[in-house]
Amino acid sequence: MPDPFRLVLDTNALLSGLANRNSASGRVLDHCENRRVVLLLSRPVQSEYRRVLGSAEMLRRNPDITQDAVELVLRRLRYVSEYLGQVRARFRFDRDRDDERFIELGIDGSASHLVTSDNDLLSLTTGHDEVARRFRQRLPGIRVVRPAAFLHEFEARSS
Amino acid sequence: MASVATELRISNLPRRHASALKRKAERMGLSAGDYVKQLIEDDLVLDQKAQSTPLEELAAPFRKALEGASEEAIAQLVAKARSRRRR
Repeated sequence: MPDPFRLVLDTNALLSGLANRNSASGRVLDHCENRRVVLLLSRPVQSEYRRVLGSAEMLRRNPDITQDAVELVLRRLRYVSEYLGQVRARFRFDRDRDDERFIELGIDGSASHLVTSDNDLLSLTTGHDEVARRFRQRLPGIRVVRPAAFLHEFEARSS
Repeated sequence: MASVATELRISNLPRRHASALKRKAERMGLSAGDYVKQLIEDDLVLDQKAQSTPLEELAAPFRKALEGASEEAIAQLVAKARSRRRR
């Protein structure tokens, strides 16, 4: 049996998955929860999730989003994930410093996939600039894909 | 069943944390020890719930908040939350 996919999920994909279970992101989350794939998590990534899930923008949309509601989702993710207590890798990504934590988790967690809808991150596997080259050097095997592409790959491998 | 009490000691707690903890406990009408005990109990309850509740159920408030939101709208929301933090 091949090794399970090890994935890093960016915040957009997480939020889309929480919003709609039937969406591609929702199905990716379902695979994570049922441990068909390994979800990687670290403290910096968890903090990023926490800040966005508990942001004023989210609260404005639904005041029922409490600190406990945010915490429960994060703890559930942590419960089903492979949690890296300490991430030592450093990767400078000036275009969006907030995305560094996802890349660094990918490096230390030996991720096979970074699942994202972010064009900046998606361009890293094909780009010709210095940062894209550096990215491929640090993460030679990783695939940076949209949730739907990840599912396609996962299903093709499982069939 | 007899309960077994365990005593925990916290070492190296920064002084400002210790005084903040004491102040907060006082505001709640508790001793610092009872307040910490309550924090631990609440934390364990949250952990237990997170372990036994499927994500779909826990996601309900977020689903409601993002009902009908497109991928673009979600991306904008994330970008907005991130930019607010940087300010």
